[in-house]
Amino acid sequence: MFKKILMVMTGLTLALSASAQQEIIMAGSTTVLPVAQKTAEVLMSKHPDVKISVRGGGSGVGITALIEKNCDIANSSRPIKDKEIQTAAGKGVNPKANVIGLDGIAVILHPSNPVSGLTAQQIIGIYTGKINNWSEVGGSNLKIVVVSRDSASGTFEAFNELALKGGKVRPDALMQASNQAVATTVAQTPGAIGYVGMGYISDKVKVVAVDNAVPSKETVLSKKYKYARPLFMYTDGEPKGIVKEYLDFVISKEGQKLVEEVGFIGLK
Amino acid sequence: MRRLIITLMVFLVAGFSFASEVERLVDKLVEKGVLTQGEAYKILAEAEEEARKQEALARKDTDKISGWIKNTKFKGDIRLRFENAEMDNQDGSSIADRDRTRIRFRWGFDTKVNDRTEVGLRIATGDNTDPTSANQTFTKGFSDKNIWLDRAYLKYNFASIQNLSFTAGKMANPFLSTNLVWSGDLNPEGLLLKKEFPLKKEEEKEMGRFFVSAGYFPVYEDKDSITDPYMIGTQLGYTGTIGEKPFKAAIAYYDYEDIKGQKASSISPDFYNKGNTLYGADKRYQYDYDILGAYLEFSPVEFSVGERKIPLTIYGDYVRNLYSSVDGDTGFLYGFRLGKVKEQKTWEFSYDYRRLESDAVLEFMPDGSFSEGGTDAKGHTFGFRYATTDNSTLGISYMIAEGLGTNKKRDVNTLQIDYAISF
Repeated sequence: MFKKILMVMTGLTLALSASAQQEIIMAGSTTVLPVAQKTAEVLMSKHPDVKISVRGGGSGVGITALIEKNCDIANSSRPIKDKEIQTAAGKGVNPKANVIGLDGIAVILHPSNPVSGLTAQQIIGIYTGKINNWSEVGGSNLKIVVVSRDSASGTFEAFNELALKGGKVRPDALMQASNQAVATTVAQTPGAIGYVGMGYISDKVKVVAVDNAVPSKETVLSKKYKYARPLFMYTDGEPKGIVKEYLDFVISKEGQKLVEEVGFIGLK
Repeated sequence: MRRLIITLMVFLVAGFSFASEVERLVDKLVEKGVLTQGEAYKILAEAEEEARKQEALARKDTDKISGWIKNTKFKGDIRLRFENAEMDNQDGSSIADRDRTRIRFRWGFDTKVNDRTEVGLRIATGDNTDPTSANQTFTKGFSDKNIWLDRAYLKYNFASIQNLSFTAGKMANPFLSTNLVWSGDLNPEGLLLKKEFPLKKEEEKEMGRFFVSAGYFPVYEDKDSITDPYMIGTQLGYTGTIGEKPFKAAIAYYDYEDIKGQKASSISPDFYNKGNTLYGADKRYQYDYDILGAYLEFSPVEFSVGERKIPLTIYGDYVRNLYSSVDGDTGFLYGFRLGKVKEQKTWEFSYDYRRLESDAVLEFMPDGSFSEGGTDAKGHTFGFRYATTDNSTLGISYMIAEGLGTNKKRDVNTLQIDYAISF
């Protein structure tokens, strides 16, 4: 009898301690993913009672999850759309934009490509199918392989707006589901061109200058680099409780250092 | 402190329309080292997102309303008038002067049903079916007053040919003129095709528009005859500017068919025997009316009085009935207007002189106030209007009209004091 009571008491204690653990669910942008993962990791190591789970899927997926109340934070590399705001309002969700860092969408080539700079106009030509060979933009006689993000991606939408000015990506473009997949494809394809968030720049790809500017903290903040954008973590209304604690950490000096560590531009 | 500044900045940028000022303030704070460039970026980006969210939510509310209701514009006006008419018969016989208080109320809407089609409706007061007046006299022991269908039309803008439209129904008068030819209250019925030709001096600035209008307007339907009277009206003109001065000019031809021999009381039951030549005991029209009209309006000067601009506008109208062997076939008007009633405390003074011979136009066409309406009169009109508020005016006009003696043998001096509100 005493043994049974002891077991029930132990079970109850465990259940209570489990429910005392605080959890944050994040979903969305693969661009913001490294920031979310790194900051979550550090915060969890400081607060073992906090559990933060981070999923990718793309900005659109994250915002949908926030609207459906399936996550606490939607990571997004693009601003929320008017239609999403209206859908959210219909479900009683009030998306609040929290800017956590900045990014320049880097245009990347295979390292063997001799082209080191393109104009914004040439990039439009390449992505919309008017320019098909690197020789047309001062490179070698090599067919251009266009790599792009899929349409659920915030980077795709931001690039479409900032670089292509609403122009339609050529139908033969290789559409990839993540920044990493774009970087890998470009790194492995000699004639390839792609675009990724700054956090995905590595020595396996070559960053090309756009209108004589490469993405960096200086060129993004001074607006010399044209393909610059804020990175968002959307919450339902003003962040509260543990979510606020986490976001305060992300924009703190320490959090912003982590943002820069994973390759993006901090706000401090 | 820093957090307080950031919070305050977000509030300012999101809440007020002077966002560009706040942007400059944020830039200053960056210059002074209070904010980093990144923090400034965050403040402005978050505020922009908040503002965009509010706009999207506001649009969501209006999206719930049906498209045609959103595209509907309601318009109306009310005018109260005191009128005194001093009348003298030209043969010296006596006739009583007349005082009356009157009201004119008009209300309606124009709605865009789709990208191409518009529909409009207006109702108005009126003593009777007189086409030249929507005034209702206060009379008959507080009896209820009539409301008439003043306008009801549809307008279709062609997709294939730019600036070409087709209007059908009882419509706003499409013909440019002074009230020598067309009363401002008259709304013709029929079909109208209008093509406009925008005139552009530069890529983005339009100087004005040439236009050509042509329409078919039934005047009377005789159940016992297949030859019903109608009017074919055409006008070629320009509205816009010349040398950046407002300018309008038009030439028109109004061809009335089968009027001759018609009973005047059939064509306009509540408004006939007002100057045209009629014959017989049952008063039939003696002539047809093939009217040539020319109209001009120009504002060559603008006087500066303090901060106000007072434009001077001159205008003129000429008509002639080209039907053969008509004696009184000509009409003309010239006048000017100083100032323009727009917002509160603006004013205008106008003067014109007119002479409209008995059969220059059909008697139900011109202004219903001068010489009690109709034709066969000449004289002066003085007017002054003052905007007491943005949408209300107080006006006084005085008309000295002398019958020309062919058919109208009466002189009428008319004083009108008006208070009008439009909404």
